[in-house]
Amino acid sequence: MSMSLDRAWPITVKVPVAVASLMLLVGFVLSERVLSRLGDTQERHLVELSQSYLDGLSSAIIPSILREDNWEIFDAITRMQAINKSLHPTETIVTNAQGAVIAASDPRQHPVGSIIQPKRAGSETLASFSSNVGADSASAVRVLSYPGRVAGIIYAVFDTRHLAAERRDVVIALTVTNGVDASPRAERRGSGRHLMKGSICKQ
Amino acid sequence: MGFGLNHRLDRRKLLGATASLLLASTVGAVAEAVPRAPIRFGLTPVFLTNDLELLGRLQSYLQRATGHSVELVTRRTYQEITTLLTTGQLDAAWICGFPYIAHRAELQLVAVPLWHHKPLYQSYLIVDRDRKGSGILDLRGDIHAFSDPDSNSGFLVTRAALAERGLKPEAFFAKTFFTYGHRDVIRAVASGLAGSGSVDGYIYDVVTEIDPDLTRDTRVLRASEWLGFPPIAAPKIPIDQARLNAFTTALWEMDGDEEGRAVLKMLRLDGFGAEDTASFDAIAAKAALVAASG
Repeated sequence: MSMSLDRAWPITVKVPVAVASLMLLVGFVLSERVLSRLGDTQERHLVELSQSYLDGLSSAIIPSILREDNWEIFDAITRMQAINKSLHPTETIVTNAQGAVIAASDPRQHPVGSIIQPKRAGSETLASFSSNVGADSASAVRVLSYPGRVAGIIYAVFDTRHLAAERRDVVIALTVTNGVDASPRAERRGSGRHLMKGSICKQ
Repeated sequence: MGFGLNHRLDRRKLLGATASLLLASTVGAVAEAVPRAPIRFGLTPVFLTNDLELLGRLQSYLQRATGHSVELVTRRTYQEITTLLTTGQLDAAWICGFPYIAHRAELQLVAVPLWHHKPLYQSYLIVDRDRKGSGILDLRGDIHAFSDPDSNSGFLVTRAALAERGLKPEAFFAKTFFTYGHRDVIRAVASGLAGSGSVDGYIYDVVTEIDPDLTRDTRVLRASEWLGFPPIAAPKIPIDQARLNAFTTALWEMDGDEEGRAVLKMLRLDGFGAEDTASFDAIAAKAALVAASG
């Protein structure tokens, strides 16, 4: 069988196919690394920005949260959302220590006094962040502590569809690049391929 | 000898006159060196204080019309401005009818704005646009937004309406809060943070005209009777009577001046008039009713 295959595939075909296969494998591994790095970078930036958002909101509402001042907290949320548009905050909820909503960015969805479900409010660390690669949103939680006790909790959700779209664009760019590179002509241009991938990685 | 005595007397007179002249010229120079104190005019949220252009033009008009520099003093709450006024730290302030009534013994009326050619306005109870109901009793169990505890339209009128029925806000409403601005009461109701709110009818109508998006999701559930428009008041014993006279004249003659008319147009007012304290009797009756209800 192998003898017949050797006869069916002349050396002038086998070498380019082997090179193209190798290039596809290398391209796949590099693409995976590029996407992984991109995902890490996006998440790191998102975490930093979300923490900055929560820091600003926390300092603005700490005195009001102790008084459970619905208006002041709502006004602070509205202002913070307006000045952090680039972060795409879609939902912000502030509760007291018992989980009762003091104010939310959408009061019709989360009315004053409604309780945030225990599965959301339970076992929160002082500051936590969660997001899934490819998901449409990321969430962050900040527990506001006053010496010795919990004063309130901030829940924030951010729209991450633009990040997923950015990753999708990179996947398309890598696929197209690898497809072009894997063509028989790529053998002659093999040395230029990795430079192209390098430029995508830097983006 | 007589000549000599007269001569000495003349010298004394001459020395005295010279000293007087020197003193007078020195005092005059000092008086010229000290700048004239500004007119300090206080503003509360009865006024659309978020409009910086309006504040600038009002200040410009008052300075030109009075010949004094004018300092506009703004504070977050009615109480702060009323305290500054009653302690003689302001020449005048645009306050609300409720604090005017509460401090009537310490204040005098300077002028009352004319809206639709009358010194009157209403308090509105506002709710979500799609909400059913027509009276205050339909608001039982609401989260209710008040403007300011010293506001007539933004607190006292609703408080008195409940008192007439033997009710109190803390028992009637599920929760109440203060926004310290009529515009923010509208925002609270429009966003759904509050189910209902008590707001100045003049502010609500003006906001509807200049920013209809803000009031689009709300409606007026009930309008009160016509009440005395928030007045401009001054301490009963003015800080400086001449300054106050100039300020009062500037307000009364605002509609006769081009720049003054521009300010009035921005405020959607027709002018300022001299009104009798009786204009505020209805507010005084509401304050007495609330005080009696405990």
